Amino acid sequence: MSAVPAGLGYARVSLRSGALAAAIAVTLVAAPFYLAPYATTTLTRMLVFGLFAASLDLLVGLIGLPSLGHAAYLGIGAYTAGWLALHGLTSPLALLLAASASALAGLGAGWISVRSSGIFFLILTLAIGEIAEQIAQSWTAVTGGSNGLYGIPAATVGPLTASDVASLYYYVLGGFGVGMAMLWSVSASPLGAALRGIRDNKTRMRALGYESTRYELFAFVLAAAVAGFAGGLLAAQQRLVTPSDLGFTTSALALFAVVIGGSGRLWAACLGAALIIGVRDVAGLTVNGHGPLLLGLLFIAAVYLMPHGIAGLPRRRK
Amino acid sequence: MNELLRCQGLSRTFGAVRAVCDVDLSVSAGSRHALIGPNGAGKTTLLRLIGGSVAATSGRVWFGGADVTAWSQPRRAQAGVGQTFQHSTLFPTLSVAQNVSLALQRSRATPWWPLPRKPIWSAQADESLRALGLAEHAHRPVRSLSYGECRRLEVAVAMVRRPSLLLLDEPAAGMSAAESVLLTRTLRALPMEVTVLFVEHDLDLVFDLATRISVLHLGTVLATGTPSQIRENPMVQQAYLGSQAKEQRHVARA
Repeated sequence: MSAVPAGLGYARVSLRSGALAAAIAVTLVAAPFYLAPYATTTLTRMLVFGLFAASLDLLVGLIGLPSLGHAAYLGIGAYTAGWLALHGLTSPLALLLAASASALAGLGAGWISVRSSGIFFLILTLAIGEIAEQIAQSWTAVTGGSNGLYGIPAATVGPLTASDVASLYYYVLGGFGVGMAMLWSVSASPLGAALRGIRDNKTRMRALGYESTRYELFAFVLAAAVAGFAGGLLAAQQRLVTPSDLGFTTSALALFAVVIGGSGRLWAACLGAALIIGVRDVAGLTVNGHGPLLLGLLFIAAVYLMPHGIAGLPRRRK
Repeated sequence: MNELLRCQGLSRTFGAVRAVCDVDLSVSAGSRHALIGPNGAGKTTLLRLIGGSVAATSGRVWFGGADVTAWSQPRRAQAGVGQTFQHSTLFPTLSVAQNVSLALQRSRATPWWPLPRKPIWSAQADESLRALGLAEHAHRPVRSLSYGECRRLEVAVAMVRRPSLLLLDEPAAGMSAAESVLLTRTLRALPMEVTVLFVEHDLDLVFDLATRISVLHLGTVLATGTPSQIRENPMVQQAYLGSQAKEQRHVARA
């Protein structure tokens, strides 16, 4: 075996990045000890939406497929986990089943969508998302129609019940960690390098023997599965699932989170998601509930001032 | 010698334009086969039809005894067809080594393994970079390479998987004379298991390297033969070599 040359290494994590990640992890684990219950609940929402946005970034940033219907898989996961909880399954197994249901839906939708590109891909994903919302509205026996699924029991892990603010936070934080680890492992692997290669230059990758459509479908299914997993966490956090959870607004907000964070970096999508939840749910309260207006202003400002998102700011300063 | 590649009645039209028209071509295993002809003769389109990035309007392509006409480009690549492009398709933000590693990765048994692991490298990768004078540049990002270095890296990436058929589209375009000599030497040193089919305008390189030459004109094969047969063919003289010689004389006078 010959020596690996310098300049080759996909999974290299610098000491500084490792230390920063460890500091963030400790801060998150300790959060319920120094935050007020409302702030902890907001942070819980940020984690759920952050994982969802990171799953979309796998599509947008890693393989270059911007979807306008990604909330469909969040919603399918949320409805699956909610329905299972209402029927007695409140353990983390419900999260895995939620991810599986979304992956299955993603397989069908991805099989249709990845054969197109550009504006056609956007329209197809938007249409599939709208269909999912319509089904949630009209399949009353399973989804509860426009009222949604409510009264969902608290999630359980063995003898523990995630019913109070802190335990629910830790339940969601654990799920967030699992989901992010899965996304990161793909992104940092040779497979992730192949996905980025297909994003940047499909012609070359096909000439090297990569069946680009299969890789795109794989990314689509994986992104749907992680979104479904986040949906399971959403059901546990809200204890309520409604058709708006899989509507266009939720998809658009996730895309906004990816753009404002800086596509291609999973942590940046989480940061973008946290900023959106913060502006909508915290800052919005201070201006008579005009959160959406603030989000609009933030988006316009971000497009002009941060074309590469928050992640691009250090590069811009150099 | 065994036949590795055969095209039969191969045609490709783009709207009203017949880029490649009823081409019959046979390439022997181990040969260095050149495709020459004036601009617009259909050389690049023919290479793409063989590589699978462009679908044939009619006709068939056999590779290693199998009819690969309906095969996708990636499937042909997996079967042993390597190729370079007229314009660089390297990844500018990746290092030289990473560009090579991406090519190697696909040839491994588990390209789907979705977990970080040791970077993929091989002695073959070292050898390809060394042969093309790029070993000391392995760590450099591709965007910092010169044009000629990029062209050489294109060839190294195509060679690294040891394809049985190497399709090169103007590999020496934009190279300096020294780089062109290095490329010729490298291609000549390839083992006989690697067959090379290349398009090139540098006739010195063509006649130096090729064991067989096919001349294309207006999408059809005008002649095929050894370099000396092609040089003496009056039809080829009239359609291509004559005009090349005239052009070269004009350049010399200027």
